[in-house]
Amino acid sequence: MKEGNRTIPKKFSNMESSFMDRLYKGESQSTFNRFTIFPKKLHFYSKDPGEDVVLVVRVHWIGYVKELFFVLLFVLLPILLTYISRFFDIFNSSVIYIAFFIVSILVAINILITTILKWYYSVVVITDRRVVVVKLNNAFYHSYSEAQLSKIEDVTHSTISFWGNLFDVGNLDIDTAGHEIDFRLKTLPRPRELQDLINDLIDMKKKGKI
Amino acid sequence: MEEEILNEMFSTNLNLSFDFGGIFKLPLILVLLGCLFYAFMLFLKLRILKDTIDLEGSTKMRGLVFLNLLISLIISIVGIVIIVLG
Repeated sequence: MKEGNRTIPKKFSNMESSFMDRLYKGESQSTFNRFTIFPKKLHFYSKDPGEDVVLVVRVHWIGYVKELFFVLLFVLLPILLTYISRFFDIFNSSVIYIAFFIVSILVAINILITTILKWYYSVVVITDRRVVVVKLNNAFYHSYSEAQLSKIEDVTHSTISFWGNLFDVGNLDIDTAGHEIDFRLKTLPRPRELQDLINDLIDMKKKGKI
Repeated sequence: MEEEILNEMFSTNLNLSFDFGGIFKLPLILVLLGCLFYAFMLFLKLRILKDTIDLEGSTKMRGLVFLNLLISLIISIVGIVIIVLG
């Protein structure tokens, strides 16, 4: 079934569940925070043939404010140093000021690029079989974890702090059976809708609809 | 004559000026090289991530990281030349 420029898999097209309406609502939000529902081109390492991706969601931009603050700091640092040098000439050489400027700009560029990549690659992928969490921390560390829908026992969402209330962001805790990893997904947009979606998918899985 | 010799002996002619700039040269070069290494590591990380997850528009990200590596290389070379020759 085709809707707009996306293809909805057959097994989801006749669903009476509330989550489809919520998904469409979520997708129509702003560019940086929106949900991507039924993405056309998405492949991950352990994706099975016939497995349908329902939703891709990224961490809210509010989760990257700290990194953006550092970018700003490194851009402003050489300007501040040049201003101070009007009163106290610490280095006795203009070359060092130029070098400080170059280094600060390079560090700022690298932090900015890392932040963009973190935003792009840190995703939660929800399919009709599992929940996949990919996290990129920096150039040296990334993680990939997944939980089968059949093994998820409990999904909890929490909205915390002033910023959580202001931007409608929160955490999503996924408890799985056995000794597997429990997920704590932080700073996600509209966490209650994600919770509803995962619960609906678990329910449908149990009933054998998907 | 004697007075002149005594004056020479007890005159304090210490030059206390210190070049702070020289101390910062080596750490600045190391930071530049560190940034270049980090940009290269980002480039390698994306090669691994390409296998892990392939999202829509990932080509743009690979282009961005390659551009970052290129800019880091150019800025590092220019920076090191300025610091060393300055």
